[in-house]
Parts: sequence; structure tokens; C-alpha cells
Amino acid sequence: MSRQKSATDQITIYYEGTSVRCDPDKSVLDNLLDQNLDVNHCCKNGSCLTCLLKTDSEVDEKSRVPLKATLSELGYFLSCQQIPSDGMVIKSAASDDCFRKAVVTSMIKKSGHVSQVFLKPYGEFLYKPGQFINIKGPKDTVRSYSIASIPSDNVLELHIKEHQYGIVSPWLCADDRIGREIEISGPNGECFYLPENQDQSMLMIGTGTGLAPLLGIVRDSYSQNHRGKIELYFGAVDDPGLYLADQLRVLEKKYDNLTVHFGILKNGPINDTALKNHPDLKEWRVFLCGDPDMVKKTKTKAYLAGAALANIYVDAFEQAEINP
Amino acid sequence: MSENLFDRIGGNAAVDAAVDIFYKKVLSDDSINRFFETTNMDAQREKQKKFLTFAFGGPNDYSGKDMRTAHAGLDGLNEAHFSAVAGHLEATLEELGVPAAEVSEAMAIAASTHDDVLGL
Repeated sequence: MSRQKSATDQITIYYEGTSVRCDPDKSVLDNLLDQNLDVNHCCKNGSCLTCLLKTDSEVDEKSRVPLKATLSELGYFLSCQQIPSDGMVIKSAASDDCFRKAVVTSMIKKSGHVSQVFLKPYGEFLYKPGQFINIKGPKDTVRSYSIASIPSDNVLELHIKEHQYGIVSPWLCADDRIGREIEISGPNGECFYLPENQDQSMLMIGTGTGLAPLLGIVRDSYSQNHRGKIELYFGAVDDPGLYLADQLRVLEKKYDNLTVHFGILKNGPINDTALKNHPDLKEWRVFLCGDPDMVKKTKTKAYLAGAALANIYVDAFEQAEINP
Repeated sequence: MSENLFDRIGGNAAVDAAVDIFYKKVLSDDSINRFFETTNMDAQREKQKKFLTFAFGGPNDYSGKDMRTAHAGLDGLNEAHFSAVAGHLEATLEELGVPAAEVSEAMAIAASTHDDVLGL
């Protein structure tokens, strides 16, 4: 195919039937947003999977790698990871392809503005504890939340931190949400327990509601008869932030090989404490969930402490831009 | 000489052994590790592997242009950083017991990227 570039080297794509002149150095997502087109997005780095769009054109591998084969097959790609190509025809994510209904069954308010929210999706919902789902909130805003439950619970448990200027979290944690339907998609993510090498020691570090996926992973690993020890480090800014301390202490009593460590910020970052206690992570499996900066730094440190990259599982909680 | 450097050093297996040592040296070096900070360490490690394959004269898809583009966005990259990375490469090969002649050969290939890496 021959194509002629304009003098300014701009290219044109077609989004929902509208032609959009694109800056070829920016992502499809940023180009659409620059034109004030309303596209769901959140982290813009390929983690949250909220910016899914659909095309029949060729896309780069990195725009598809994090997606499930079923979605790639349908033509979905991550618009934040894809550079536009001239003539690309793009459609918005058809709701019924990705989203399904679930009902909010109950909610428990915890300290530190965190709520445990329980959902029941309609129909069969297969997931691995530690994966995340996306929830569609007001104004079609989509946010990601990790799964703290295990399949035998028969409900999905999420830990939601209410953000003062948030769009989805205050809406989801409102008391009158109980009994009502919401739309969810997923599950996504690769931070979960694999039942192999079951005598392996596991180090888990979570900050804030980064505890949610870890709780799911701990319970899942025991339900699959993991025998190796688990050292779980749960850190928060202050005491109220350790919103699930009681439940963790109960869990610690229940499982002989589980040790839970708590830390608040004034005593130093929990990741530093953990790595000081476990300077040699050779042969360890490591899970890091929560603050993206903590996750990134600790991943490097865990690798330098001897953990193989393939043995390090991460779930970085990227924050959406908030406009108060 | 029938075999090229890549095969003489031990091919893919040697690269696999080297990349771990090399990447750790680079990440532990505070004078350069900011250039290697990334959320995707796995992808970064793959890049290191490609670079090492290149330095060993092995089959690779590296070109001077790639080298130039890949390093163009790195603010403040200079001679000292280039030497530091070269030093880690040399130390890695020595640690693995690669004979001196082969180390020099690999270092010469790495040195050939100098202008592209620094955008000269």
C-alpha cells in the first residue's frame, strides 16, 4: 500500500466514523484525548487495561500482550500502548464484549476509609485470586480493583479505599449500593499463585489496599496445599491504614507457616524492613502489590537480592489523575 | 578461524549466564542505574540480552540506528556512563572465565557502538 504523507507528517485515523488527525509520535489514546474524544483510561502505561479499543488493523505486540487471547481475537488492543498508523479504523469497546453485570451483596466499613465490598457476578465467573477486575462507575469511568477472595467463597471480595475526590470509589462504597447491580469486566492480571514448587518460601509485600490481592493469594496458596513458608508484610501510612490487622492475625493463627508483619510509615518503609529481614531471596517467590513506586523499587531490590525475575509477581496500583 | 566469537564463548547459554551478572552490576551502580529504571524489568533484561548477543558477535537484530534511537532520549548520557557500562561488561566476562583474547574481542565490538550510543 502506498501512502502519501502530508507536509506536517500527520496521519489520519478513523474513530467511530470520525476522522482524527494524529500526531504520529503520540499514542492512539493521547491523540483521541487531544481531540476531546471521551475514551476510558486510567494509568496510561499498559497496566490497568481500561483503555481497550477495537480495530481490524495491525497493531504492535505490546498493545496486545497483556490481553487475554479471547479479547485479542476480537480485535481489542491497548490504545495507550499503540502508535496510530495511517488509515486505522478504530471502534470503541463494545460494552457487552467486556462488561457483565454483578450485584453488590454486602459491605464492611473498615478503618482508614477502606471498605470490604462483596459482589456476586451473574453466571459463572472464573478467576485467580490476586487478579483484578474493572468496575464501571459514574460517567462510564472505569477503575481497577484486585480480588481478595478465593473461588470457594462464592462472592468476589474487593478492598476499596475511598478517595475524597475519587469518581468510582465513593460511589461504590455508598451504603445504598448494596443490593444494586454494577458492571464489571475481567478478570485480568498475572499476579497470582501457581501451584508448582509448593515448598518454595514466599515473600509478600503490600502497602495500603495492596493487601487485597495478597490476601487472595495467601488463601489460594493454602487451598492448593502450599507447604513453604509465607512471610507477609503489610504496610500503611498510619495505624488506621492497617485496616485488616485483626483478620490477618486470625489467619496467622490458622496457618502454621504464615507470619504476618505490620508496619507504619514512621517506622520506615515496610519494603525496607522486609528486605532487611530477608537479604537473600534466591529461590524465593516474591509478590509486591500496592504503591507503584514501592513496587518498582522493591522489584529491583528483590532481583538484586537473588530472586529470579520469573519469580517476582507484581501488581502496581496506578492512580488515576484526580481533578479536585 | 572457523567459529565466531559468539560460538567460541558458548553461544546462547553464555549469554544467559552473562545477562544476569551484567544486569545486576548495572542496576547496583548508582552512577548509571537511573538510566535503567523502568517498570518493565523483564523487557529491560531482554534488551540487555540482545546487547550482549551483539557484543559477542552473535545473531542479533541490533543496528547502529537502533542504538542511536534507543539512547537518544536519555538525558545527560555521557562518556563516563559509557565507560561504566563497558567496565561492567568486561568484569562480567572475566567473572565467567572468558579468556582474555575473547574479552578484548567483545570489548572491541561494544566500543564500536560508542558514537551511536552517545549520539555523536
